[in-house]
Amino acid sequence: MAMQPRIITRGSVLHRVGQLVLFGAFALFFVRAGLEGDRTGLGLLTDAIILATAVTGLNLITGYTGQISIGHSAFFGIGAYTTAILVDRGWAHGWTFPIAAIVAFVIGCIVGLPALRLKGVYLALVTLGLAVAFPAILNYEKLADLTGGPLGIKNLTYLPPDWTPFDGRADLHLWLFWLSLGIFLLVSLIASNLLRSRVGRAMIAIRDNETAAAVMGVDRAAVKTVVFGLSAAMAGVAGSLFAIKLTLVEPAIAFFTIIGAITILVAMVVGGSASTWGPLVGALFYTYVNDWARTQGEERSIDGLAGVIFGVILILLARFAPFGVVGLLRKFRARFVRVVPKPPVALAGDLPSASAPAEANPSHASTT
Amino acid sequence: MKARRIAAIVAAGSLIVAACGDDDDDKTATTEGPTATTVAEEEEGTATTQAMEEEEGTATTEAMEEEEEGTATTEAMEEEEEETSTTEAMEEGGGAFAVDLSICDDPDAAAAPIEGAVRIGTSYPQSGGPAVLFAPFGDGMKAYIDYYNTTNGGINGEPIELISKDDQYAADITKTNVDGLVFDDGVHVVAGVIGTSNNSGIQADLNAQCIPQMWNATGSTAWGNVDEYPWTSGLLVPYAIEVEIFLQYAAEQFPDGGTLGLFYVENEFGQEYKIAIDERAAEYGFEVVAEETIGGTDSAAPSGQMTNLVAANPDAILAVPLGGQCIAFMTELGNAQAANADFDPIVYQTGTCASTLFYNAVTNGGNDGVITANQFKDVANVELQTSDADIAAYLEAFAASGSAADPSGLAAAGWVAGEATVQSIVDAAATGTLSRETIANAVRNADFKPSIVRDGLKFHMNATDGYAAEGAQLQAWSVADAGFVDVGEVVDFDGFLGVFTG
Amino acid sequence: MMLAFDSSLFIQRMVDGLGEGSIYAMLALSIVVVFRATGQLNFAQGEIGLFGAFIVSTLTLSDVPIALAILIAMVVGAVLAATIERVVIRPIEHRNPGAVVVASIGLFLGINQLHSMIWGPNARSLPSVFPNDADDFFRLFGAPVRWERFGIFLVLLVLLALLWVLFNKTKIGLAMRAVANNQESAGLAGIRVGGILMIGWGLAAAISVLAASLLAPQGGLSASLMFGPFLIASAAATLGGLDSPIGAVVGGLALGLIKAIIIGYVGFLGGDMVFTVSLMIILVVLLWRPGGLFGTVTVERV
Repeated sequence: MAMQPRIITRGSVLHRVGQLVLFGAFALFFVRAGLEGDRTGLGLLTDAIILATAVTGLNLITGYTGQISIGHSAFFGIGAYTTAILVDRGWAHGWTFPIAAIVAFVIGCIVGLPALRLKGVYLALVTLGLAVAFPAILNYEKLADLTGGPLGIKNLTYLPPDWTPFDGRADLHLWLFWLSLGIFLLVSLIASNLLRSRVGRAMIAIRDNETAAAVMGVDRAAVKTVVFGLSAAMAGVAGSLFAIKLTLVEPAIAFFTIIGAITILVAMVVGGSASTWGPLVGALFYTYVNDWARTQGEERSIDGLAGVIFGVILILLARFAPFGVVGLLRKFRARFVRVVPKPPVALAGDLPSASAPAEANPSHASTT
Repeated sequence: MKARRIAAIVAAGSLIVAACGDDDDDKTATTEGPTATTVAEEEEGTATTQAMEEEEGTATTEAMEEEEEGTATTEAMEEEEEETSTTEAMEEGGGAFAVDLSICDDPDAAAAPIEGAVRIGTSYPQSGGPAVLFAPFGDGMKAYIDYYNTTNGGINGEPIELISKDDQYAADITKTNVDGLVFDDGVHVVAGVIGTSNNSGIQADLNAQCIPQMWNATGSTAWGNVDEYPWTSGLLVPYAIEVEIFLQYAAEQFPDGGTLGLFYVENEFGQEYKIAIDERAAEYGFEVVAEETIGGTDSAAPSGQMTNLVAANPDAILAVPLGGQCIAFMTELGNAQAANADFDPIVYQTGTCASTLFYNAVTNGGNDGVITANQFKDVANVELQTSDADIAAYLEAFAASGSAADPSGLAAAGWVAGEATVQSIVDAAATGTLSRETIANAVRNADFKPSIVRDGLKFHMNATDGYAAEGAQLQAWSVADAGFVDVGEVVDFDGFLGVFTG
Repeated sequence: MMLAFDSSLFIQRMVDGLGEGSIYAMLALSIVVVFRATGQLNFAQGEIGLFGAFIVSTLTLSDVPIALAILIAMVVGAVLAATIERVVIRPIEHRNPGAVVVASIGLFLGINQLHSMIWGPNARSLPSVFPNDADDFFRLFGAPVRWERFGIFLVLLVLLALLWVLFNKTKIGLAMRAVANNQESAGLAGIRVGGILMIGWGLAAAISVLAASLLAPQGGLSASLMFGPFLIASAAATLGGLDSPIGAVVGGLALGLIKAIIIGYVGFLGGDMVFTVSLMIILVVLLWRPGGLFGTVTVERV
């Protein structure tokens, strides 16, 4: 943290322009990808966007509020299963998304209740338990009428509706891409508006100093519970997208297990927790680096090589970019541009000055 | 024996009902099963000669010579798919099957002749937790493709290309991988993908793109869905058939019926066995008295489950553990038998465990007499390694591939997947036009015996038979011989499952 | 099916549960040791143990006696883990908890995959230190108790006693407590913080090597051996209290017993639901005592 921004002050207008350029570059990248319609690339990019949506959710509760969750695969799965169960019962795919969000929200609030009493590692371990228990619940035979048991639910293909410019099956990949991108933008918008609100201020206050937040009159129980719910809802919607893209749900699917929870958490930290761009950057990084690592293994026909490479990359990243890729980029940028006094985060740029700006304490957890 | 089999075939309807819950179609499909033979016979004359001539000098010729020996099934016909037009495809009744291109995204591409090298795409775990278990399959498949390219120079005058992707056993990655295989690498077929959910996730896409999704490396009954997913086919003996083979054997030991204990892993794999038992046990006079499960990642010894099995003391046990759980189950079995003199059930363990390494790892005698079924020759048998040319060829090629995996495990299935894939492509080429369409038809009308599949069994499919492998050899582990010993004759249920109508 | 309560069967189930729980307890101990010394969770804990078990396997194949092989592997594992702490974990800026978690997940992935790269994909068998033939058991009220499981249980008790002495009767134990509480002030008090952190990681690694080497004879040695047990052990440590060795042992044994009871008497739940039920119990315990059964409630620094 030797690189606190100072010396050169930038006007708000110029800052805004910078943000717009950054946002524009990203937008251009996605729009171009979507218009080009390169099928393979688009599939992987859609995977990354779906992951980014889930990470945005986790970032709210873990990054900004400081409540570590290693259980978001469960909310992801709850969203996926809600969509699957409803589609299986004849619902239109699109209408299952809000329902999935609501179901995940309610369950998220319930799961968030223990967070009122548990702290740090204990909360992390309880949510990890949730991630392990979740597939077993899906497997449970007494619930098989609902969940399909170990066989899951299949045939969830969501063909582009008539009002879209897409032409049936042939454009399915384009439709899924734009749908995922749209939902991701919506989720990001909700998240950034939330962070700008009173609740957002309360969240950060709880993370940075829970006792002080309580003294200041923050209703910790309400904030934690609601944010846990919202966070779960976002992961749930990501799960809905996942189910529809894969066309099936099954308890054994890696993303619904502890592996999914770890993926979401790692993508968040790797991107840069408690930062606006973190979820997207982290998800892109995770998806593409993992893909690259697999390619290395495939090309050399060495089983396990991909895991070793990816493991080493994570270790190096933790060492040299402890605040994620975004943190690293900020550090790099700080050599040239130093932004004061407002936090240099795009979109969430005007966090209230009363609380510490995101960059001042990017560690996602309160000290435990 | 014979009567029992006919009864079983007639009763097959109920099984399929269980699998898909759609009565009407099943019944018609099943009753049509037996007529398959006649129709196939009629077509024989035209197809065989032509196909045989064109295949001279290829690996197929020797395979075909051997396959007739000791063949139990009568319907073994060389009905190689000749230039079948779509009109012929409409003929029903177990005849030749032909895909209907009108449902394809791009029918012309599916029918277009394949120029140059044939590209096979596959996706299986090469890294991540489950890779240890499954990666040897890919090694075996690659070994066969290399072997074929070396000995036959490939197809179309060019070596066959095998493009393998790593999916870490995650269905979503499989899907992205297969997208890449199809659109970047331009593969003509996708073959030998591991995992039921992994295959389910790509099934709809590949069928719409009309790219053969052939020889899926799982025993799910879902791959026999000839009507809805004609481009999809399965490699392994369906788990439901394994259950049938087990029940038939158990009924021979207990003709007046008996009690049954189940031990299965709680995932889709284990569930398929459980469903089949629920449907079929009563048919053979067995009552399930104990049902024990184990979690998919549970690597602790299943002591509690074994205690329950001992308490229930069934006449027979069907065990479906996964990976290292195979060793743990047999070890606990040995301990339980030593401590409880009256606990001595017939134990059948899934063929997925039938690796000599797993059995050899059990040191307390719990493996002795455990029965399993295998459609493949016993490649770990030292005598056969010298006397059986196919096994010798496999072991030599597999060793040359540099894989460290145990050749008696999943690698053998991978070798067969490679061979079946190449065989289907060769069969398609024999029709005069090598295209994705003719390959799909060749798969759906498969009639050949991969080299290390047991004599007396073959891969056989047609319009009313959606499953290639429906037979196996029962075998028991013998501690004295440190290997498997055959039990009875090869059991063949060819045509038993009919088609899946999900 | 159970018409009358069968007491010998009940004892059998308790024996099953304690046998399985002993392994979880031992792994939970290693989690507690790392937590006590560093305040961190190490996701690679199980994999480091497995790495050691593979070394044991290699040694026994060269005819090294199994007990000696395990001791050698424990030392190797400890040195390896201490090095990892020094090279990988400690340089992480501010020991940022998020980055530490990512690093330990990276270690988990890397070491797990290294197994199959070094030792190949084939499952191996590992001999037991204890008599382990089919008839090596004694009867306790009619229920057979295997010497192998009984031996593991004894090892667990000895280990617990040693750790108790270490934590409560030695300077190192005191220093560990100081370091876990506050590294800066411990350093100011003259404690070699770096050394303590390395000892914590090394000791934990030795314990998990022991646990993996004792578990492997039951179901063979393969790269997937430790993932499931590690998750259960982390639940056990949570239940008992992350900074309490006795809590880890009680938690591990309790989870083993819960599993045995559910499998034995609550059959409709099935084997896979055991973890879900355990989680519920853990939740209830934590809501009652947020630091686990035997753990101390950490006072949040303000």
